Amino acid sequence: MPKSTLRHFDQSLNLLKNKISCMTEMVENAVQRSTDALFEGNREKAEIVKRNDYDIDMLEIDIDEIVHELIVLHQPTAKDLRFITMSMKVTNDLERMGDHATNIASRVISLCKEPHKQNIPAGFAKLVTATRKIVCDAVNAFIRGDVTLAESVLKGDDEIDDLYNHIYQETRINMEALPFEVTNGLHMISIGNNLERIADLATNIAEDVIFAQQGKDVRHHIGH
Amino acid sequence: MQRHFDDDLDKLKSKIACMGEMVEKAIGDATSALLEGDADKALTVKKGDHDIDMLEIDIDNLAHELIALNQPAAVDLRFITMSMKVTHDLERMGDHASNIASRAISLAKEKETLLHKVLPDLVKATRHMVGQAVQAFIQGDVKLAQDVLDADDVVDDYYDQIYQETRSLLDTGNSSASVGLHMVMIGNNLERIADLATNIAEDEIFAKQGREIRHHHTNDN
Repeated sequence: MPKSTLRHFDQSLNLLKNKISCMTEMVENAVQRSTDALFEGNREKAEIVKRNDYDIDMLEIDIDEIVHELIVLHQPTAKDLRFITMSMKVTNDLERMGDHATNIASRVISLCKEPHKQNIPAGFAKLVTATRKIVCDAVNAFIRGDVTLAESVLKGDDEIDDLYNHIYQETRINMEALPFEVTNGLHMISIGNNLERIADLATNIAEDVIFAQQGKDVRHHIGH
Repeated sequence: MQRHFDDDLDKLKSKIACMGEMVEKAIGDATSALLEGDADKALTVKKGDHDIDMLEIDIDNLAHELIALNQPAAVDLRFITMSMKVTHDLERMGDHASNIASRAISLAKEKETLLHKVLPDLVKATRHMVGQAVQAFIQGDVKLAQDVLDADDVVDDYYDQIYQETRSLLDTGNSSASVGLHMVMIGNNLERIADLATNIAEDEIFAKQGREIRHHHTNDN
């Protein structure tokens, strides 16, 4: 590529990275806000998450446009092309995380309407913190091509599965013992499940990073 | 050059169709394993998920080759990049089928069974949506894509029925929480699969008609 074109390519690539970081921050905020709403019993906050989801969706479309432009104008190959197309998968995953945060917000709104309040299972705060961290780490690993960080994401997912399972079992036992806990319990488990899925989407991203960096040979090995 | 490109594009399409069929089969097998209490069948679904994952990688590689070698623009490029999103969605559907299979294995060990009357309808509607969404994408059929979006409400209703039915069974102590939760989660997985199918359909409509349609609806679950 001529120097000026190369510079333009780098600029566009940076723009792409910035937008992905921005989208990630929005998703992290949505996760935080929806779960803050849970802890505070704050219906207003949950409504904000639902309203803001549209912005996350629009950013995905924006990023897809940049991707198409990058491909058409610069005809990237090999590693660059892989990064660019992977960006589309990453934003797809982020968009779904946004949906899960919205689902959590909807559950919180339902919970706010319940006359009988249930204690939030003990592990919840930990699950939220771990989930946010894993999302942030996964996207950073992708943007920087950092395999070590991607590997730590996979380890973090095991911890999240444990936390979620704990919440699931604790709530189940609670429901078994106290029938009036059923409605609340179902909401709690669903919220935990949404967090677990968000973490699962983050591990998707991390797996892709590891795959992309290890190159064709490894892929071939695993594939055939 | 053009013929070679067209051949590769056809190959891409048939691989996506194949992946769609594998996912449909996984959904069908996971749920019949559930209905029949057949843990072995469920285990086969879990093992088969790897093949679905590998097909995603295969299709991605083909898509990269198509882009790098042919430098397609406009409509062709959009189809190829969208293929990668579609396979990503299909891969996640496979994960959900696998989740259902895991729950079917747990349920096979339980003494009581709880099979909702609408469950087979939910399965059928979900599978149908997946097949239609993939067809709509491959054939560029916006009308079919619209059918998929319309069908999503039906799936949501079925899921809601399962949810409410289970809740009242649990409320009245007529089901153990363990079994009831498995059933709600299975319904939830099916609902998510249908949701992913609408993603594909929305992408298809978006590709043809532009910005406004995509992300037109949200779902609560």
